[in-house]
Amino acid sequence: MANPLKYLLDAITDRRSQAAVQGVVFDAIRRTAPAYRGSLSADTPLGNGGVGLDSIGFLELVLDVEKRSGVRLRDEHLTAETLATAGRLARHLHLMRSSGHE
Amino acid sequence: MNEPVGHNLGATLLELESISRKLPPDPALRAWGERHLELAKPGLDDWCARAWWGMAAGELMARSLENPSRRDDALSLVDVSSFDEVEMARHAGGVILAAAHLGPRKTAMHGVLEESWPLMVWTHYAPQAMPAWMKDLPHVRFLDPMDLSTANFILGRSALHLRNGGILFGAPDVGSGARRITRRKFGADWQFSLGLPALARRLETPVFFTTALWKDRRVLLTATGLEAPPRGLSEDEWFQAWVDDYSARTDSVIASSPENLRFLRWIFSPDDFKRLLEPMESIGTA
Repeated sequence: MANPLKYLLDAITDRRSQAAVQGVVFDAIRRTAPAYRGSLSADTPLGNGGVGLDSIGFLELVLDVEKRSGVRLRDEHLTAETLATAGRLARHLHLMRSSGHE
Repeated sequence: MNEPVGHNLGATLLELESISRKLPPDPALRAWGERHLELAKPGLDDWCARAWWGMAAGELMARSLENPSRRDDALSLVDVSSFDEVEMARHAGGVILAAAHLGPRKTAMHGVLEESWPLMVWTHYAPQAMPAWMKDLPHVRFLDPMDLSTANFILGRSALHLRNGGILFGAPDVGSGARRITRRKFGADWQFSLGLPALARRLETPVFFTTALWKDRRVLLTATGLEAPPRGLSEDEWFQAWVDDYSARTDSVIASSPENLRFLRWIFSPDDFKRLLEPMESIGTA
């Protein structure tokens, strides 16, 4: 087994990085949808039933999170799955960042 | 409706013109021309014949373009004006080709598919109706603005494609999209989706007004630059100015070119439209 201390440190770093990305997504949502007054959590839907973004709102959100996170998204990754909730978008950004798409 | 066989498309379109001159003017077409273009005899009958020909020829053109064994024949009737300006703009970033629902159906799209550009195309097909060979084109991605499961992401995906120097082909004169401008003209409410102008404004992407229009029984595919409205305008004013410029160009075609009024099929029910084009069947069909 690899060094358990390194494993633990990597896990903590990864968790912090995920939390940071989630913060970027939440901030972007607030800028993109200033009229949304509800609470934000990882499970908040970005479209209907949640933040209520329309196609122009999603456009603004995508460009904003890219700019703030430094992650270069790819168009084929913008799917109903990755854009379903704030948490899923954050997870996707985190994965992209971890795999070097900056 | 079957496709004529044993003819090349050019010869078929010539025959179709002869048929159009012999048909009595369709009452619904005549009423539309009288009412919305203020046409009167004797020009009205000629207008009706040309409008009928345009709709019938447009159907044949679209079907031929999608049939691999007839596609080259159909493409031989499409003349492409220079894409030099599009190419130049593309090398500086992405380009939007803003098409219009005028001229033969799907023809501008097929003309553009022939280019080797990295393309994203907004188009709607009935389920299973898109020819398989189109789905396999390696340089093209098709997005359906009418597909509610993906419509929300279409602008985001398009923005990333444009940012990478891609070309986006779509038509703003549609009733889809979350935000629209409605314009009253020619006796109807015309809907303009704000998706394309939103991309153009947000990314400062150059836009080319792109049409494939009948001219002397051939099709001329052109792309001419649309000037971006001034930056100082508010978002709503900017969109309105963009739609006004785009609409001025479509209005000009509508007022002057009866063979390119594809949208007139919507004044007919599907059955009536089928009946309207029945005289086409007299040209040898499969």
